[in-house]
Amino acid sequence: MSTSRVLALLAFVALHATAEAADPVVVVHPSTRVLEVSKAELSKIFLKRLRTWADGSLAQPIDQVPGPVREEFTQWVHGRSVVTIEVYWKRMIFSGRAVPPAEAADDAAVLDFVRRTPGAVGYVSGSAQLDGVRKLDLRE
Amino acid sequence: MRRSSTLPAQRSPRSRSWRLLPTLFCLTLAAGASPAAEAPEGVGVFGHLTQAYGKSRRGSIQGTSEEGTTDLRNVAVQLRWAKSDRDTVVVQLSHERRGEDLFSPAGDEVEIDWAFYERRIGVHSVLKVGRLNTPLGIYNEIRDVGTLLPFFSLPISFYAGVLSSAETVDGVSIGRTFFPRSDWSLDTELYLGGWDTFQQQVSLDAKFGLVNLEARAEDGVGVQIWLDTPVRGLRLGAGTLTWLLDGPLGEPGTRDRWDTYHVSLDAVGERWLVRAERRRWRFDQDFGAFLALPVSLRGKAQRDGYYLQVGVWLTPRIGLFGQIDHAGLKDNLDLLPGLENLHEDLAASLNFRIRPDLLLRVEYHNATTRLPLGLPDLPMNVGSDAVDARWMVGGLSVSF
Repeated sequence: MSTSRVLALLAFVALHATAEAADPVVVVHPSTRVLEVSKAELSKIFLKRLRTWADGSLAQPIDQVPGPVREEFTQWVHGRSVVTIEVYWKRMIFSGRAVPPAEAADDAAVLDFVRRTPGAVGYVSGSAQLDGVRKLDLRE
Repeated sequence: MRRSSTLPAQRSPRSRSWRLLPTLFCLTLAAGASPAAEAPEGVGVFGHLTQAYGKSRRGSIQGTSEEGTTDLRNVAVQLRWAKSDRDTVVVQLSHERRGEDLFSPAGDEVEIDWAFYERRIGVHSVLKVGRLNTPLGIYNEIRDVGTLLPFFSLPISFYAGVLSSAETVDGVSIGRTFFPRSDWSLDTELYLGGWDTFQQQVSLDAKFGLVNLEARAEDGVGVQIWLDTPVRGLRLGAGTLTWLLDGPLGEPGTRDRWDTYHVSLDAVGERWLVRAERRRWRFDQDFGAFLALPVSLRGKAQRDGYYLQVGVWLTPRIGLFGQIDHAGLKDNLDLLPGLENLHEDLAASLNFRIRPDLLLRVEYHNATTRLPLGLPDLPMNVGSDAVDARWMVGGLSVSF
């Protein structure tokens, strides 16, 4: 194998590993019967434009405080920056329609809330230990 | 008994407690010191504040004056109590000053902006009872929230104050979302009720040549619908509102019918926005009473308006916005000639977003208008030619 091919392979592996580490993991309460959702649907749930899962049970999203995980999730799922989403929530608040989901301080707080709350959905960094919760698959 | 007054008039006979104002400011500052928190069940405190300076080149328009004024502000504190996932009570107190704005006569008082109980019915329906903010177009519900607006003042063509519309409704509304999982989801809201408003009458002694007379809109019925599209950030809206106006200019026992309908385009991207709305009013009017003549001249009037806003965030902090705003008025008796082009305004604003909730803005307007400007030699602006009006507004807005 030529040096250039080895370098290309290493670069691919490195990029792939970076992407794996950067992608947040969406987690739900173990009793949630939905196995996967589309990004659009998950976006609506976190924006409270959709209040139930496909099986009719109540969805209870929990956000994270502003930081790298939230930035990554917001861009990944909403296709928007955190600032844009914050402006969206200001609009919802001052039109008297809704308030944003509660914010958890870190991965552990998200996992604790999701573990205790049927219907809950949150996101954590890729390195978090997912004890007592279930990972939710996302489709485009 | 109706009360007449020259501008600025007391906005309504609701709460008029000056003593509440310092409390409201303190609440604003105190709540602004820490991020608002909201639990699924609990109390949330939110608020916004805008303070601006406005100066016009000639006369007074949209609250500005030739001398320059800082009498342009609004502040509001919202208390939201979620008793459960289904039951919520929302109360918003506000204080607003618009200088000597012809279309938004405001007092100095702190008043109850909204106070309503919200009950979620099933999953996709919401019932509200009380004093509700009216779902009408893109901006009506957030018309005072400076951090969410590209310009300090909303387009006259569509949102010309309480005279022609309803900022709030005392009544009931029912909202429902259809096809919520679809890319084409549809939000609908039907509302019923009444609200305080004004009628205007010619008075050559008044600064603008007009006085505001308190009136009441009754039996109002309105609908607002929004259609989400598969294009992220693009939605289309339409709505209508009809009511009966019980005011001092009508014959005793009669009420004038008003109808208005509108369409909206709201497209917002990560770094840009395009917004356009068009609206038409039709209403009955005794023009004799309006002109303070001792004869009755009943007729029908139609007002049309549209505006277009485009904007781009040049950087995450700096946004540049442009606006064209056009309003016209005509009547079937030809008593108001030349008002088909009542007002045309070209405006630009520069927004500097210091933080998502802190915005510095300066804007400039260049209009050709027949709106009353309060000019000493031409208070009502009813000369043969429209008047050039130019004004600027600069200010700071914060929300929390």
